Amino acid sequence: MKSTHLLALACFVLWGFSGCREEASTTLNLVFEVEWQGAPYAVGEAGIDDQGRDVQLERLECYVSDFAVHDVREGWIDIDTVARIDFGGTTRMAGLEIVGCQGLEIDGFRMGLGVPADRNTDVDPASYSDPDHPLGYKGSAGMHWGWAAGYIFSVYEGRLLTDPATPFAYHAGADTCFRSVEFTLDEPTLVPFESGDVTWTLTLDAYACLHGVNDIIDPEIDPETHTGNNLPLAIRWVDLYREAWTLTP
Amino acid sequence: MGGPVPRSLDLDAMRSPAYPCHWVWLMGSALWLLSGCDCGPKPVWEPTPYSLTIPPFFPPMDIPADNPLTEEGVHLGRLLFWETALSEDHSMSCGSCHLPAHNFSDPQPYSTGVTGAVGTRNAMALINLGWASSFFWDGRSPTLEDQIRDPVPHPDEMNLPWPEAVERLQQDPLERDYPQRFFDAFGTTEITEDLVVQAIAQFVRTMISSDSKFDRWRRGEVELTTSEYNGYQMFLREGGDPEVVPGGQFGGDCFHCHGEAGLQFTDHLFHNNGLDPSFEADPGRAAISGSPLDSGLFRTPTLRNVALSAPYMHDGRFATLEEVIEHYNSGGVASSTIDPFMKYTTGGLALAPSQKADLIAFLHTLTDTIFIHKPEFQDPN
Repeated sequence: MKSTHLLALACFVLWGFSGCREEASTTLNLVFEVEWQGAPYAVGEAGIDDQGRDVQLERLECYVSDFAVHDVREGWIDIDTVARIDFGGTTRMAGLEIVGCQGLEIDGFRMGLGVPADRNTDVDPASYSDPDHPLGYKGSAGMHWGWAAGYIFSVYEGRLLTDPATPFAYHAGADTCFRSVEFTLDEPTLVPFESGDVTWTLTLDAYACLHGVNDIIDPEIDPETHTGNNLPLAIRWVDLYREAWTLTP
Repeated sequence: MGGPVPRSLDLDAMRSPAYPCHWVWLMGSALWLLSGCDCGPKPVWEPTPYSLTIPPFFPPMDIPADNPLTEEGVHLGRLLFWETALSEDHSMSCGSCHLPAHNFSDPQPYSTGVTGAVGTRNAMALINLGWASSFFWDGRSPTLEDQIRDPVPHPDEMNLPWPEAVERLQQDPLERDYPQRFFDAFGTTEITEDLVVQAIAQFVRTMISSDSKFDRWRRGEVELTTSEYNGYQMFLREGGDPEVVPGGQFGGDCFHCHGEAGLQFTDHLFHNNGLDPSFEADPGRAAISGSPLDSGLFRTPTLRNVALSAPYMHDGRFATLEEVIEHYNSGGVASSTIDPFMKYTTGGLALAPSQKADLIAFLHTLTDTIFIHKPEFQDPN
């Protein structure tokens, strides 16, 4: 037997012992919380803005998608899931099923803020066979503009409790308003496949959605965007919104 | 009263010479009758699945697993929908307040019940309810079945306690063959409140409108007129003068709440569209949710057949579409919960008369007269 054959045989044997024989999976549960300037907050309550005005959020919803976890050995592992989060309702969880052949050691996490490009326009919610799918007819109720305009990625609505009250509505959508938020974990987190599901918390600071380091949106000056009619404001809003997330593994 | 005819027995076949054991069978039957034994052949329940056609561009219908549509159930539901025995004085049926010619709604702002009592909200149109996610103006019923339970015993409506209603159907004095029809639909001659509402719900789920001019345009079968098309574009555009409203597009701003997803023209959500400054007269959704943020919020009705559904709003305050358009054009009345979409702080929509006319022309394209005249939905009596 030639030496090359021996080498090939050795490689085959090594592969046989080291390879992934049986895939396993685990679910990474994401719980979504909302806060106001770092303090507990519920949609419908009034939070105080930088000018001392009461801001009453009445609707705070978003789509999240294009998830990925970074394993110290495997690198980025994509998880194709779209979830609709209603911070004022009961739909505040997303389950990410991770398939592999061994536990993960995660040191990074990425989440898309919106609906992926291949699914966000020219798709009628009615085309989903499951009406309750997050992008389906019932599952998307109130988060879809129409065939051409597609899904609303994020809704931030309410009013300043001034006299008279000042309503505001920031609705962002379309590819130009899709953002990703990425976290690097200080300590890698072990996610063993055999020990059950893991739960992480993602917190959105509703105050930070208006108040950033480089920009502040004043609802009295800029009360409304539906993206198409006021794209600059939509972009300002999603850029603040992207910076408003924290992850607690 | 006779019991149900066992559908599995073909007496003609048994009498024929080709049937080898008919004499034996007859002897056995005679013995069975004499002995009073209750162990003979049971009636066979074989309902026919109802073939529901989902129109193009419509979403799948979420039909409850415990109430699938059957031909027998839908037909029974139609009889019950029009059954005046379900009202105290035998004068009213569901169809009394949900008139076909008016998009299965009531042309009066408030319906009058059998006692002469007058309701407090306009009867909602019964159209494409198979896709609704809540029912009544305040959404207090999460299912169609739950909604149908309400009007029969309601003192301001049909005013007949359910046990009495069920008993009337069971006794079947008008010989409509109800016990047999319930058997055909549900496999039992024992009529219950649950089965009555299930049958009516089956019927209502078949009440699908999908033949308006707009539907035909979407299917590529007809053209919209210039005015209708302009009105559709108005429907889709943001409202307000851009000089006053950032991002305003001089549109009608209708699509936010009357979304065209699935061609249903409603978002199935609740909004305060700026009708009143306060809500003592009717708190709307807040009476159900308990949240002050829901004060004055009402369910978005579909715009399908809106031209036939007058009067408008939960209290029927507007008699014409022109009045409705004028209300939105004004921006509405400010209140603590008025929807942010309403342009009440910025002078309304600022629509020109021709734009209003276009918008109304578009709304008329949602009229489906085939739906309201469909024989299967009419009073069988």
